[in-house]
Amino acid sequence: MKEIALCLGSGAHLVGVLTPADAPVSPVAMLILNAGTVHRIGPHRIGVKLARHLAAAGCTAVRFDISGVGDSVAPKDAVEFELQRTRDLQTVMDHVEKEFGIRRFALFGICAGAVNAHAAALADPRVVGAFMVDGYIYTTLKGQVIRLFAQLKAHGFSKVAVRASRRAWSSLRALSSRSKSGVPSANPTRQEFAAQIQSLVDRGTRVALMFSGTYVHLYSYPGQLRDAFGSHRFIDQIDCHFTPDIDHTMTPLAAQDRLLALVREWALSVAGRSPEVE
Amino acid sequence: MDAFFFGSPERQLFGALHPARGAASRHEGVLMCNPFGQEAVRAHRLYRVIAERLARSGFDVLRFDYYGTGDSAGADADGELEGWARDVVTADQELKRRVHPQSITWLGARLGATVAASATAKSARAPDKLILWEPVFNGARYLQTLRQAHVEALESSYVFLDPAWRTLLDANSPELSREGVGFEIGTALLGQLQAFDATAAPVPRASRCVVVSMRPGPEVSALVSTTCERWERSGHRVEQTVLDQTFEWLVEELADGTPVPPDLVTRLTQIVAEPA
Repeated sequence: MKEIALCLGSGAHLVGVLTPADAPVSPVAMLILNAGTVHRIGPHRIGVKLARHLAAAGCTAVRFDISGVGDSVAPKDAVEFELQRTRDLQTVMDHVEKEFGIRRFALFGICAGAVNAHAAALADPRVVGAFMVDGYIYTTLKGQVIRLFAQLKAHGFSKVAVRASRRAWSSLRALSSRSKSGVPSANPTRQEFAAQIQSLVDRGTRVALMFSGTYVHLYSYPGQLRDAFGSHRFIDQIDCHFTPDIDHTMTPLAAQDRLLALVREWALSVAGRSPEVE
Repeated sequence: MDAFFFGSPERQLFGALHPARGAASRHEGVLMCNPFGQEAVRAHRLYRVIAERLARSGFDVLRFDYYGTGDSAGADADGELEGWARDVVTADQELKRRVHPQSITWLGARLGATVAASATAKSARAPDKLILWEPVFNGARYLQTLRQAHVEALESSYVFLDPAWRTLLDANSPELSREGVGFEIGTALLGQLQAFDATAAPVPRASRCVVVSMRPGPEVSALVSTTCERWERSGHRVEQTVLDQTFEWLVEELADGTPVPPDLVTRLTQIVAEPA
C-alpha cells in the first residue's frame, strides 16, 4: 500500500496521512483522531498500525492532526476549539468523499480523541460509527467497592493507599491535560450522555465504548455501563468493551495486537451494517 | 510546512519541510534526525517548534521519519541502524534537491544522533555541522534504559501490577529487550544495539561537530569527554556544550506538563544557528 501525505483545509493547515484500502474497498472510511497531544501516529505508533491493519482489511484510513496538535496549526479563520475540531474532521471527510467517493465514516479516538469523536459524530450524519476508548466515564458505587477490595487483596492496605494517591494525581493530570488541549474536562451529565448516545444509535450510527486497564479505578467491571445506564435503550444497542488487559496507550505489543483485532472486527461490522447517507 | 513522502518506492519515508520564510533565505539547510520510539514521540513537538523557529530565521529545515518509524513505511520490527543511516543520507539528498542549500547542518537527538554520526560515513558530502544532542554512546546501556523505562511505563499504565515485570527486569531477561516502551525492537536492531560502542565506532565526518549534553552525571561526562577527545585526535573539530535544561525523553505526554521547554528551544536554535 502506498500512503498519501495530506495538507488540507483553508490554509493547508491540517496534516495527515491517508492509507488507501486494499481491494475490495469498504464503503466506510476510518478517521483516526489524536490521542491527547500525541501527534497523528498515536501512542506507540498505534495510529499507524491501526491504519495499515484496517487498510489491509479493505478499509481506507486517515490519521491526521486536528488544529493545534502535532503538525497541524490553527487556520487563520479558526473558530473556538469545540467547533474547530469538528470542522477539521469535516474537512477530512470532504476530501475523502471528493477524492475517493467514500461518503460514510467511522471514527476512532482515545481519551481526548474519544471526546472529539463523540462531538463530531453528533455533528455530522456521515459518521456511521464511533469507537471511543477511555472517553467519558461514569462511575458506580459497585465499581468503587470492587476496586477497593481488589486492590486490598492484591497489595495490602499501605500499598493501596500509596497507589490510590498516585492514581488520583495521575487522573488529575490527565484531566488537566485535556483542558490544556482545549477539550472540556467536565463530562456531560448522565442524562445528556444518554440522550446523545441514544440519538446516535437512533440514526443508525454504531457506537463502541472501550474502557482500559489504566482507568480500572474509574471503570471497574464489565457491567458498569449497564449499571450506570440500564434504564436507557441504547445499552442493548452499542458495543461495550471492558479491557483491563489493554492500557490507555497500548504499551505492551500484545495489548496493541488485541486492540487492532477488536477495532478491525468492529470496523468491518460497521461497513456491513451502516445505513446509506442521503 | 509541506508534508510528503520521498525515497524509493520500496522504502517510502515521510518528510516535513519547513522552508525559510519571513527573513530572506540563508541558503542553509537543517536536517533533523529523530530519536527512537517513545523518545521520538516525545521529541515530535519540540522538533516542530525548533524547525519553525529556524525557518523564521531563514533556514530550510527538513524533519523526517526513518523506515519503520513514525509515518514512514515499514513496521517497527523493520527498523535497524544501518538502514536508518542510509535514510539520513536519502533525506539529506531530498533536502538538497528541494532547496539547494549552500551548507547543511544535521541535528540528531539520542539514538538519532548516533545514527546521524554513522551516516556521515555514507554521505558523498559530509555535513558542514553535526549536532549530536545527548547521543547514545553505548547500545547495551541504552537497551537497559529502555527495559527500565518499559517496566516503569507498565507500572504507571496499569492499576493492577504484574510482579513478573520487575522479576524480568531484575533478571535482565531478554524477553524485555524486544519491547522498548511500546515499540517492537527487531532482531537486527537488537543485535546492533548490543554491539554498539561509540568509543570504538568510526569517527563521524563533519567540518564541525557539537556534542550537546544536559546536566550530565559524572559517568556520562567522562564518556562524552573520552569520545570527543578520540574524535579530536583524529583531526576533527569537536566541541562540547552542556545545557542547564533537562528533558524527560521517555515519559508519556500526559506525565509531562511542559512538552516543549521554551529555554531548551532557544538554546538548541542558537546552537544550530551559530556559524559552522
